Amino acid sequence: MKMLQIKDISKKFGLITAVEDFSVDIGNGELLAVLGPSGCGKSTLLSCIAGILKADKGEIFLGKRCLYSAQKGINVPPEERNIGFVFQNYALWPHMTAERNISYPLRIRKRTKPFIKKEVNHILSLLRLEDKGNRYPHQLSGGEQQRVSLGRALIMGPDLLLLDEPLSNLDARLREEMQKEIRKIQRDLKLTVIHVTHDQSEALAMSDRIVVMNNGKFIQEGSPDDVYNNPNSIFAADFVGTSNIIRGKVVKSINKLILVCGSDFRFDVSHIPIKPGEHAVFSVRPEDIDITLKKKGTANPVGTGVIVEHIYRGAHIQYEVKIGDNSLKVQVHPADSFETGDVVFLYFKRIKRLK
Amino acid sequence: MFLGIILSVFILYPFSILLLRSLGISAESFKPGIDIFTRIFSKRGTWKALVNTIYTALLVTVLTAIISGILAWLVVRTDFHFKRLIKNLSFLTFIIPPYILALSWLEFLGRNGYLHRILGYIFGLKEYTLEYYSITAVAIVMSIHLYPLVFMALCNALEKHDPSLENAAIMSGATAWKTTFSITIPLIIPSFLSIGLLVFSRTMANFGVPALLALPVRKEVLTTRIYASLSDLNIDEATALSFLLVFLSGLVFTSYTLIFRKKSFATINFNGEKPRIYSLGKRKWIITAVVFLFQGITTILPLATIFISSFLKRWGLPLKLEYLTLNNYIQLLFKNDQAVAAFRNSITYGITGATFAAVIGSSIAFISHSSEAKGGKVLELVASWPMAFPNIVLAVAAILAWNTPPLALYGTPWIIIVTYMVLFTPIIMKNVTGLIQNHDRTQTFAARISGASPFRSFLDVTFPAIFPGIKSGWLLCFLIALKEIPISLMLYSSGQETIGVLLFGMQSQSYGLEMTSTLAVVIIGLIFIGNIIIQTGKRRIKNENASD
Repeated sequence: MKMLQIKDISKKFGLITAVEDFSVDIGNGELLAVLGPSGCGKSTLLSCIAGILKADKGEIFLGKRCLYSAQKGINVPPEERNIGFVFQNYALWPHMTAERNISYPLRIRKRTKPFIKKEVNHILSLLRLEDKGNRYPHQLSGGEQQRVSLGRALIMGPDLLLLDEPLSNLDARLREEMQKEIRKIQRDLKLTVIHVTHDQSEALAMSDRIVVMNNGKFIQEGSPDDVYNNPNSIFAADFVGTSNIIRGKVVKSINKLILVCGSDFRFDVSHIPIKPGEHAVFSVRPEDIDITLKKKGTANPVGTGVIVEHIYRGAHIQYEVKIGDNSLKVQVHPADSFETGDVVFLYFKRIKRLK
Repeated sequence: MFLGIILSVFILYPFSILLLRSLGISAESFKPGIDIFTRIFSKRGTWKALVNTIYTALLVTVLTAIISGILAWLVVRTDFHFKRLIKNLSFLTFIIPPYILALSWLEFLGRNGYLHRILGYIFGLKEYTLEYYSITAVAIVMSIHLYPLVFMALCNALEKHDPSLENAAIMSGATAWKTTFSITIPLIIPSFLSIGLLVFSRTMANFGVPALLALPVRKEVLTTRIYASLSDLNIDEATALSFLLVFLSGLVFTSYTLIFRKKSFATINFNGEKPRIYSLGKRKWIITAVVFLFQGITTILPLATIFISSFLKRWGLPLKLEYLTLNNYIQLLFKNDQAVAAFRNSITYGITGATFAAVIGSSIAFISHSSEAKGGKVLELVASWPMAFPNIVLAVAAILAWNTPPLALYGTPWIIIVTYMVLFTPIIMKNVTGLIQNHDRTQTFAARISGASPFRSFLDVTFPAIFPGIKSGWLLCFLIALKEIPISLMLYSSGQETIGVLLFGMQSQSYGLEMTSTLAVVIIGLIFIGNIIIQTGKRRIKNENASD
């Protein structure tokens, strides 16, 4: 079931187009990550959904309710949308305690005191803040402020929860913890969530589905696995994980199709539907390349290269291998280490054609 | 809309009347021209007053610049001791109203003053020839009052500027002295000049000090001349003189902006590096002693003089226990009807004026900086206008505007309250504007998305954020009402005497300097308490922001 439908949303600031004809649907109880670099318009998109900004055109439906429609002249004010929002800087009110911050949406909705008390206690225990209720925001740590902000968004029982880079101000360890926690709460409460982030590993780890966005435009959507393994564009391949982008021309040789790229770099593309003479772009993940000092039995290497640089990353080593004019990033287990200057044979385990 | 009407009636209307009247246009007669000006300039007194005004203002500007320049350099750039104490003492000096400083000047240096008596006691001195009533005395007292302002501004400028600029000069081979003169001083010249401009116009605008220290020997400045012509009921002359005073400060300000429009060396200290600290070496203790002697004379001595005098049974009596009494305080605060009424009036007018100003000032600040409503900037500009006018000119404009129908406020307390409101509105507006600009707008969005209407989110989130600014601004204005002299002095009618009127008039009435001193001590006490409240409030805001 479609919970949120976004149709052709555009938003301009003066001459700058922040979001352009953006459409996406989100299913009930789904966690969707909107992934893109800083300034790609993802926060603007979120503000349009929340009603903090008014889009220039398009439509937004939440369930059967129309929140915004440029054609019909509908623009529901933010306070009537029943959407939870966790801001990047948390936006906690400094003059209210954690408890008062969290209970605010219920007080606005004029619920009874005992009901509010019960709900607040429930939220505080859900977020492990039981003993922090009476503290003011400046007496809380970053992680605690973050959870108070989340609590304030959850307590109203929102139809949709929007997270605007909520973890970007936390240190690495806390971030990982919060990722798990948000994921757990989302599953337990069956929440529909849009999570905006520029951190690809966060998007891959947390979400059911990812939408990749760049320059205000929709690039690709799919499951984390799908987006990572089948990027549809150079941007998606490069932004989600690391990729080597290879451009070349397809030539026919005996009974094979070969992609020729530069002078001494060629590989078999017979298994890919492609015609001879075509120019094509491919992407190869660093972990999908094997390098060896000696030729592997019968298999033909795509070429030979020279190791020019290496970066030690703990779990693996990343080498930069130069083949003619091209240079490729290759990821290798630390056990198979090489020296700078070694001449190596390269083998591709998997390669994707990009449009 | 409503605010626009209020501003037009209470600010634009009086000032346009002032302008028109000085050009010879009024409801009764229409003779446009510079007739009045030729008339006032035909009097020698006007020329003398003009020269005296400029002389005093220049002397004060130069004196404060020298004193504060040295002090600020010592405090920021050397290994000087007691830096905190120096700053606190100068702040204490600053909150003493200048009129009270002038009083203590008289009590200490005047005939039969403490110095006269001490010298007589030690050296048997009879002849006392010090010219304690003079224009120079006005300049010295105003310098003592205003140097802290310059000192604080220069400290700020010196602390902010980038030490790497100086290090670069030293690396290029310049000595410490050469660096100070070729790099440090040129860099803070803009701060020097802009604060000097403020000192210049504040000195020109002051009325109480020349009234007390120059008028008795028939030396006049423009403000006292305005007062004199009002006393003679010569409104035209007062108007023209006010215009002249405003014109003069306008001239100084315009020439400053014209010269320094393109010369701004605002350097920002990006890396937060601490500036280079010079060692004073063996001279340190001598310099420390000199600075403390200076601050002792400018802060402690006046306060002590006033304080001691306030307990004397009668001014002029020797300082013996038998001549000391608490009766002055009891009389002033409880028994004397006139004094009690003055306190009541000042407090009532101050509270009412400050409250109106708080509502108007904070609304304008909000409209201009937070909402999309058009015209906010215009409102802000008009409302901040009175800041450029000396208090005495505000009073003259008020007389011109409110002594005739449609709004004949003259003779009612409202003329004072309305003028206070005009004077206070920009102060509160400036106080609130800073907080509104720093207010995180996502906090308002967070309230909206939580279900609050725009009005409710203003009430629950924005208002609590700007309220401390309104509160401290209100208090600041209330304190001004307690010590202000010229506005109430020009505008009061019988029964509306304020503390300022009382303070100004006491000496010439049956009371002596001892009662005036008692009143001065009470005023200083109130101002001191008020400033402590304001400072703690500011510190709290700072702390909350710092821990975010």
